[in-house]
Amino acid sequence: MRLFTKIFLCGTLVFGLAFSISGYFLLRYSMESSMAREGDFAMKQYQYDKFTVQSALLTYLDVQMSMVVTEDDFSVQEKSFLIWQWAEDSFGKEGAANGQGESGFLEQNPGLLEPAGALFDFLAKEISLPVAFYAEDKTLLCSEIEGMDSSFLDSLEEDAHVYRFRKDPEGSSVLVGGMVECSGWDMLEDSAEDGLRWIYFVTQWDISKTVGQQETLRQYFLRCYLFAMVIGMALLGMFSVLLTGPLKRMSEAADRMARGDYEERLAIRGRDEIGELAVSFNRMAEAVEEKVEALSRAAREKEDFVGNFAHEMKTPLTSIIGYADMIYQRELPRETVRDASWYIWNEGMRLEALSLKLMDLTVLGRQSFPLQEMAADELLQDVAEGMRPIFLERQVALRLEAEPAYIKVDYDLLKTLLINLMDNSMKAGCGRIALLGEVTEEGYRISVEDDGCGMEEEELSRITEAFYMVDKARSRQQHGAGLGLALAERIARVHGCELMFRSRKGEGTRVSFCLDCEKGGTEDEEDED
Amino acid sequence: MKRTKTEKRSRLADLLGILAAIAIAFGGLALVEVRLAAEEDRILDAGGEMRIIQVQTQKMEAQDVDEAAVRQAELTQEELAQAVECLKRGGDRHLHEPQAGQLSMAQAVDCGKGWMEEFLLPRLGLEPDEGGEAREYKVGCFLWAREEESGEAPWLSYWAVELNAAGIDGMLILNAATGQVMSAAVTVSHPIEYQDRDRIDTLLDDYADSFGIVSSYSTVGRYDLGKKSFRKSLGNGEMSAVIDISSVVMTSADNAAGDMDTPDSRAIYEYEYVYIYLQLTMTADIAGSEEAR
Repeated sequence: MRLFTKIFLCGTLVFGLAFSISGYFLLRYSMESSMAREGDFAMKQYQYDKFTVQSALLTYLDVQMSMVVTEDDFSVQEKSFLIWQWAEDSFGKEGAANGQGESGFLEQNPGLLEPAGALFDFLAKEISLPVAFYAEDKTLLCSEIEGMDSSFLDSLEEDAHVYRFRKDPEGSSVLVGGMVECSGWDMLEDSAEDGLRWIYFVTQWDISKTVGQQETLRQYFLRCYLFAMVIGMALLGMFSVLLTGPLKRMSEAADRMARGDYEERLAIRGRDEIGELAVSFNRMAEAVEEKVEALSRAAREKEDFVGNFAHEMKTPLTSIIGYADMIYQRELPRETVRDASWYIWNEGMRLEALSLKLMDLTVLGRQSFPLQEMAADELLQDVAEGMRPIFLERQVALRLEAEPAYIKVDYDLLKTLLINLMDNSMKAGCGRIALLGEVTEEGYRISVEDDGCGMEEEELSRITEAFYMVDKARSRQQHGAGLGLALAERIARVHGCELMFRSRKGEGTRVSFCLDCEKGGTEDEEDED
Repeated sequence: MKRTKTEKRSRLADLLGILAAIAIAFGGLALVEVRLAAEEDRILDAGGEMRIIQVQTQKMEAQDVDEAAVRQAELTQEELAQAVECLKRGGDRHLHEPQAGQLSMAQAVDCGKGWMEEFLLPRLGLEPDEGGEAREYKVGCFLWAREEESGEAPWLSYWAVELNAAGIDGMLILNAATGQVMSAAVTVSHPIEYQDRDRIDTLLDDYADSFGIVSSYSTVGRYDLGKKSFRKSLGNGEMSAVIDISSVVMTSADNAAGDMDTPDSRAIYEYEYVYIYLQLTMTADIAGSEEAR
């Protein structure tokens, strides 16, 4: 599953749960509090109506007691107004008027004096709510409540009111019931046991409106929930895309890096975790690029070393082979044989030392070597002697002019440098080479001049690059690899100087460099370490 | 091939994830609906019981009346002041059943009727009906207390007793603990002697004395556009007994000559309605209202 889907799923889960749970508890609280409030209203209204009923019963008692005491015709008493009101309600105005106008109304309507019936009907009309009256034995006396079930009164105790919510298809309501005392009514009856002592009084409080409001609230919540979820899911999708977008870009960049594009970098936006990740990614890419570059360089340097070594082996070996051949082919005086043997030994030793120094220079990148002070003219003489067999073989004339001076050099490396320069001159097809050493204001200048083919000026800036060959066909024919001048350039840097080239096509080339010197100094060796 | 299978699986998982999210969203709603419907059913199937603290019987016994009379004398000046202050203060009314130390409805009605018949009407020169019989009253009454004081002290509840008889309409507020009439608004259409200052003074004196607190200040009278207003301070002057009397005369023409519908054939009837308002109140409240006037 993609991260986008996970974020979307989790977001929806959290959002949906939070909204559902909070909505549920909110609506439940609203419903409970509304119902509790309605219950409270119903109880208060019940208490008021109960007082009304009690008051009416008291009045009724007074009227009835007066009647019993006076035994007068009720119709002639002014104080019987309430009874007449019942009469109007129960029998209509005509009947009441007849009764009032003629004596003996109550005798004609004896039911009026019976305690239940008309009184409770009248009271039911007096009270604004639907009510019901039950006798002590739960006999229904009067009821305006449809489908009234008195069973909820079973648990009723004398000192309590009971209530019950009721849900009908017609509407919801709260039924509240309690006991109302009717003591004193027994005075009207023949026997106290037959009279009513208590009645059950029940009211019905309509809560349909509140239930309807709750239903409306639920519908409203439903619409809000749907709307919020649709909008929320759309926003979640957008946020997920926004959040996973940079990660996707990182993944693509990593892919490109894996394919070798180490220059791949991410645009950093923001300072959040993703921004930090992008920074880290870029840092890692940089490190990888550097590492790869270092590895490439190391590999190239190894190649250089191998090439340089082979290249540098060539010239000394040529000398060694030349001297060895001379000893082998000819009968030479003892002195000449000793000199030739010394050169062979000397070149062999130099090869051994050179291999180590080349390793240092190319592979390890070593930049400082211990320099020793020595006589420049002797050094140049030594180089010239070492090259003699090669010059003879190539029929090249060497002119050596060296002013005496003391210079600080690494003997092997400087000799390699000069041999490389003269080797290049021979490759350029020269007939004469001049190896010059002169004391100047800058120091001791050593120059190698030839009358070879020379170079174009634009080629001069590139000739010290490794493997660069001016005339590739010619160089390869002469087993060149384009490494000699690159190595010479490094050796010059080790000695704190640079190679200076001056060349003209068809006329020849002059390469020179300037070393620190002490004119006419002592030959004392000074260990630079 | 393997990569394709992985991709297919990933796409299927994504699809299932999105479907699950939609199911969660709409399932949550359905769950809420179901739970709320169940909750509604639970609430609407529920019932309960509210206990009433010591319901008293309405039966009026002689000893109960005596006890009420004794209780009248027991209410201290501070308690009475507290009861008056609570009565005059605004706020929601809480109806309740009589509690311990409070009059029952029958007792309250008897107190109210007794006060009307034996205290107020005789002092206004209105005797009982011929033959000495008591008037028949239509009664309406309820017991209430301020919501915040409900159940705190018996004397901080009040019986509101409405008494209606021929030519007499009265609304009395009785202290639920003592039956003392804290205020009475009575309209009388019978001829009464309310113009006699001595009768009014006597009525006010007797009303003030009925609270059992020594009255040490003289009566202050005020006549304002046909309304007579007198007050008398009680005890340390914190409370006052006040009476306001005003009247209105209504005239109506009645066809006394039967068929003859001419102005001469009509008799003119005048009815005078006298409104009497007696109350025990805080002196500071009266002073404030008088200043406002």
